[in-house]
Amino acid sequence: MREPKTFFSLAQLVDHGRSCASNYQTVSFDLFDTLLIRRIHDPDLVKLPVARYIASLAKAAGIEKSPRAVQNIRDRIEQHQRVETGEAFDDHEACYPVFMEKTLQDIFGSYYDEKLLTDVTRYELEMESRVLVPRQLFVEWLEQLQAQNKRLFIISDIYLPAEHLKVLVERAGLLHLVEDVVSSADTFLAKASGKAFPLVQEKYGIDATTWLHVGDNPISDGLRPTEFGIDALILKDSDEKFRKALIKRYYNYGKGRPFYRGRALQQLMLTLEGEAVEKDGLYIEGYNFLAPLIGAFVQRIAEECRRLGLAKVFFFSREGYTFKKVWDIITPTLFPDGNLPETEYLYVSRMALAGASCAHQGLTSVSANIALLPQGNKDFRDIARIFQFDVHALEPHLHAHKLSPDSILSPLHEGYDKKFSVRFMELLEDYDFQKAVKEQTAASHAALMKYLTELDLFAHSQVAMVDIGWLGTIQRFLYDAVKHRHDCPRMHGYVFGATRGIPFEGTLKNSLEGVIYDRSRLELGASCLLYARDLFEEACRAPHPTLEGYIDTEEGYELKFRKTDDATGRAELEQDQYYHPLQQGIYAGVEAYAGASSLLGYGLNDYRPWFSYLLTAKLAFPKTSEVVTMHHRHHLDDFYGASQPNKKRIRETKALWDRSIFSLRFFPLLRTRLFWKHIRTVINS
Amino acid sequence: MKNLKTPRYDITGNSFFRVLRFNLLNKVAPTGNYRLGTGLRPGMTLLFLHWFGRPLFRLLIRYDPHLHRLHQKLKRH
Repeated sequence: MREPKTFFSLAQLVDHGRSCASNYQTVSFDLFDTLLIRRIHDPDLVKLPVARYIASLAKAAGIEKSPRAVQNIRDRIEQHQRVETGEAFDDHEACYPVFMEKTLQDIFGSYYDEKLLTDVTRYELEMESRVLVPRQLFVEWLEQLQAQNKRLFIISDIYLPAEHLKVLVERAGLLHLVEDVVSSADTFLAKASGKAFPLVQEKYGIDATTWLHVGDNPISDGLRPTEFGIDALILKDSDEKFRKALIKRYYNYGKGRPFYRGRALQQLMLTLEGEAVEKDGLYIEGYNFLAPLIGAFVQRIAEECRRLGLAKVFFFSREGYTFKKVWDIITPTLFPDGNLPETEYLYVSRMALAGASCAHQGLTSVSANIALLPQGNKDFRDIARIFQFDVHALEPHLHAHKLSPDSILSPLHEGYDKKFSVRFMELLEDYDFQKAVKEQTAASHAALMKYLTELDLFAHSQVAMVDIGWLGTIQRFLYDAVKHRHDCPRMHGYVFGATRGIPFEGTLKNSLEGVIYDRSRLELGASCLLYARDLFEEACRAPHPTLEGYIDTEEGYELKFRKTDDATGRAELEQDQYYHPLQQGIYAGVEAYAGASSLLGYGLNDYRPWFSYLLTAKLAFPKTSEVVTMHHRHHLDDFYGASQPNKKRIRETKALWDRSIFSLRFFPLLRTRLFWKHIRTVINS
Repeated sequence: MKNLKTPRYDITGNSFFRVLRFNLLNKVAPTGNYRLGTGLRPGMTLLFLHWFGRPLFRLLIRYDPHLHRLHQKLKRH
């Protein structure tokens, strides 16, 4: 009897296989841990998301079963089938459609139908497929063998029937390379007992003397085929052992130390085999840094929508463009029961909504303060620019209060006098001024109402609003524009980071929560988001110009976008092109995030300790190369005016991310000094 | 141009060594709530594995059955 040959590296095995391929007419491969490897160390972990899915379907049917209970039922029924099979066959095999049908019947009772089995099977195969990666060297060898007209088979001992295995093999891109896929689940004749080999020989008319089998199990893939006269090659891959030892530890440590949960997530997201190709530095940052943060942000919003029973989510332009795309990518995997709200991309901007927000309540002191917050804004002309007022028409009202459009209203600018602020407050209480403001903004408001009605905003009692941050100005203006209506929905606002520079007046009908960072929670790690807010804005920004306003027309409304052929438009285009790899990295990363997070069964709170580290390391203590790579080329904001504030009145240290490469590289204590200042500010604010 | 992971199965641009450094910093400065952090033993185990795992497993894989039997024996006692 010939001995199976054992190889300790894949390259050596494939080299040997290639050199002796001419001796064989048929080559068969084991599937799992040979042709395909799993991202995780324990194949049983794939069953856990399926158990959660079944539990959620049961809950929808009014049956309370925990995922753990579902898993126990499945294990019990599968084990029972294996014992039964063992009484009639040498192998103790199980067949997925049989035991899963019994499992579902046990759980759902009279609610069971065939569609349930189809849906669960589809999700199980989807999860399996997500964790499987074809081994690149085997793929190349298979292609070569196919070109040499060899007969190629895949033979696997597993509970999934061949029909299901073919789905996995096809998704791995291997099905066209093999003649057939054989599974022990169909016949209960497995490789483990050696019964599978004569079965395959007879069915496909194979000569055993010209048959080579490749696998990883020394008994099933080594001893058994050689007993039958088939040559066998065994792969004992040390690299795979190494990789699995790492993910196993990250996963297990994460059970006791939450810090590792985020690290385990990222370990599962790593690209393997053929996926691992070299990428641009920005793509890497998008995949390894931003994607987990954005993925967890969107996952949290979806969980909140399900908890609160929200029927619709509005993603605010322009950052919401990326969040919506991420939602579309991750939610089918994370929430396979489909119990999710409708989504809508809402064309809004601070500038477009500012005017409309005044149509019913007039110009409020809070809104005026928001307009004067940016250092580049100083007078009523800036307020009028933002709220789209006709300054000329309002001048008589200003004069009545001894103000002019050029009176300095911001204390940061030269020429400011407290009396201007007092007079301005009096102006805001002037009925005639507010009447004129309401008249000027009525058309814009009417157009906005038509737009929002068309998008069904008023058809729901509760909706979610998603934006990047930071003061929640867009949501504030939007709520101001619609709050007079009896059908105004309750708005649950979720922003990536809430800085709350101007307190958000949360009411029962309008609330705001910073998901990753919120100033109302003391989170020093997450507060590092404040180091580079522009990075997140630019990374998530949609590839269309900002909205300038809503125009009321006879036919309805029109959305007026900013022109793109001026210097600002060209700068935005240049920035879009520069960040294109970063965005590609984010989209690829969140796809991997969905599979990994679903497998782990964790959510944002589990990942928070890791994100604390991630944000501190990447934003407060970045490597110089990281700043150089990730720093945006242009960041434009129409809200900001062009005036220069008095330098004596602003005590502002230059931000770390705006420092020169020289100071980043050669001032070793710069990061520590700025971080110390940062945490003092955060704790004191 | 780089790969998304290093040859040590570590994250490009965010190595485990960097993680350990920040966990040490977290012991002396308020850099956020790491909720127990890495821990000394798990941290050292993972650092060792990332750095020396590849040659170690290349060596040990040849004695896998022996090590497995030894492991089973130790587990029983």
